[in-house]
Amino acid sequence: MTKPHSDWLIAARSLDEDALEAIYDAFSDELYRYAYRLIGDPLAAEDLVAETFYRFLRALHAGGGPREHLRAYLYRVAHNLAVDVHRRGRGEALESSENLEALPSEDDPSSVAEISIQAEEARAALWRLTHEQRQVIVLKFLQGLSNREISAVIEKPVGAVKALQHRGLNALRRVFAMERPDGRREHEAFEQKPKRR
Amino acid sequence: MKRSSRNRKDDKHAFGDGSGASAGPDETNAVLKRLSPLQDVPERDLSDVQSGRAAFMDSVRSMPKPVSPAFPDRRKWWKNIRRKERSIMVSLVRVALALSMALGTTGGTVAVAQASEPGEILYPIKVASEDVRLALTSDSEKAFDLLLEFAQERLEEIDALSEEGESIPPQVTTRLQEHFEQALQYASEFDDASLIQAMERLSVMTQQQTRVIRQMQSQDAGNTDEALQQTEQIVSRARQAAEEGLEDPTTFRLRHGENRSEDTPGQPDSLQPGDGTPQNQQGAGGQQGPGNGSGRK
Repeated sequence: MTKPHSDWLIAARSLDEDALEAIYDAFSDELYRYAYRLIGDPLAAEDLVAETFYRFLRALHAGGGPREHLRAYLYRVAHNLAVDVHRRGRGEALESSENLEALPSEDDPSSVAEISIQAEEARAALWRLTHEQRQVIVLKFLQGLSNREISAVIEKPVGAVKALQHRGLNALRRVFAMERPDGRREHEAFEQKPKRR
Repeated sequence: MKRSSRNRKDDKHAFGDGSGASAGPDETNAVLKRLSPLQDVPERDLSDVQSGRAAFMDSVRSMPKPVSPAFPDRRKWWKNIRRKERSIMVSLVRVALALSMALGTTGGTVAVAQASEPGEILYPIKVASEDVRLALTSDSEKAFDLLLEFAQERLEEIDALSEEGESIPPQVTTRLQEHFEQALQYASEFDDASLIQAMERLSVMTQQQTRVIRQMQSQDAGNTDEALQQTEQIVSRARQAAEEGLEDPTTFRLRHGENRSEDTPGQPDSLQPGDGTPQNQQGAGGQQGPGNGSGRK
């Protein structure tokens, strides 16, 4: 990226085509990977990317959108949309067939199926975390964002990011530990309930 | 479509940077290893990428210039005072609070009352103080913020009651609904930029509230089942309204604006209670979310 995001944002506010095109090119792949990792369906991930950029455009048009932290804003929108998709069950419903369809033909089918199952288990574990824990874990360990970048996404201090990361990893450890040999879980509900003040 | 060879070239911090794991390096590595299959992301279908990009640029080019000026603030301060029937005692408390707050002589009772729960002796003071705060707020955006704060407070009260296995008084859910309705009415007077921001906030807030309610339901012993269901519906409707505000501000204003008549023909129907599925919405697809038929893909 040669142009700072802030310059893009300034130009994008006036719906500058070049700036918006550059923003799309810079972030669409990254957002696709994020979406896919969360919902596990290529088509839904493409839709989610399209909807993210459309909402961004609509917000700009209405005079809203990010004042800074463009990337963080896009991640935030994408995550909210992913939560919607997950809640509606689309990801789960399409998961198995889409994944198998996406496999390269030269790979051994049994190892490919194994990887697909492992990915689905990992994804299911992520969805048992709290909203913010999941965001932090995926952004940090799968998307490769720094703590400072993540703090912009979740709009919390870096210290809170570290705490969420710590709790998220511990929660995942417990989720994986609860798995039985047949892949089912000992308990269903896992999300931590916020304590009343 | 091919599966990528990990697709992590841009994910520079991903895995094995040794950071953040205080559960012990081995345990952390074991967890990260379990997540590692998610590193594999299928390569994007080139035609999908190109069509998505083209659709986005088409949207950019066809995006009309903003035409909605900020709505004038027609609201009179006295309209903020709710018109429900109140007991004489509550009305007296309200007047006393208004006087004491106006004179700057509010005592500690009001502050203490803020920690009270429904059914407790100080709770009417807490509720009345909220109404007075709202009535004394002349700025629409501040009133909107305040109403979201009150809505969150009601949710926390419901959470506390549910946790204690106590029944939830219908006044609490009714008031929660009123908070959202009033907030939406205020939001209908915002200009487009403020409306988008407000609805994004409301959307996120109601998503979080829905998760908390579902958690309450999963732990409910049966005493609060119906009230929790009602609460979920109220929050769900608020969320749908927020989505509608993001998608179509004009329809949103028609539906939630102060001058709306419930019986005016041609206006959108009220949203139905449910699990978050929009009912009777206008517009293509009638639904927010990926692939809603808005021609971008």
